[in-house]
Amino acid sequence: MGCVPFDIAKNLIIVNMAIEGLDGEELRILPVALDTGASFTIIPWDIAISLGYDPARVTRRRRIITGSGVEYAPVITVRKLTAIGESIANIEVLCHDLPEDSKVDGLLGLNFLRHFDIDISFSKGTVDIRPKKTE
Amino acid sequence: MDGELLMTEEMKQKYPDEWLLVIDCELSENTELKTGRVVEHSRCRDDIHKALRNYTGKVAIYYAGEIPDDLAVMF
Repeated sequence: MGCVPFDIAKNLIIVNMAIEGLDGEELRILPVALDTGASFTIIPWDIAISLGYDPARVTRRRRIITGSGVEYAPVITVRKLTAIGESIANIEVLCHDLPEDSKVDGLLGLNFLRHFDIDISFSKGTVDIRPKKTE
Repeated sequence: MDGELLMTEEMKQKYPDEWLLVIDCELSENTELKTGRVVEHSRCRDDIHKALRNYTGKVAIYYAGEIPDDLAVMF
């Protein structure tokens, strides 16, 4: 379980995400927006390539509906993705570059978040995450 | 450029409003960046992405600026 602070005065919840490379040795850490409105987690193409993944050669593309239209993004499976102290192994991410003005480099989407119970407190300015209760 | 070990607050003071490439990173148990060495810095994020190819290991991209209060995004 983990807990990170965020600035309640801003219009974005930014957390750090660590992505493990294809060889299990490389690691890239980047700022991403926690986005419950994003179906999938998104990382930039350059990050994926630097970790040994090859988004240009994967045949699998996912159709994504954005605010500005429909796009097709390559789907890669990363060895491990960690955010707010919790990790998921062998998780799919989409390779897509967000506008630089967004001040983040990716999105932490529902395909990661759905593995956890999450509390977002706007009075305390914290995001708490813990593994889901299993029946 | 292979700088001194800095805490993130020091990075913000030294490189305000810049994107940074940080090596020798130490992360908290909550995956927050605590310390590292800034090896590249630029106001342009793409410059940092291009510089990534020159580094291996545990490498972080860090934005050392403040998020504007009036920033509105819809992804």
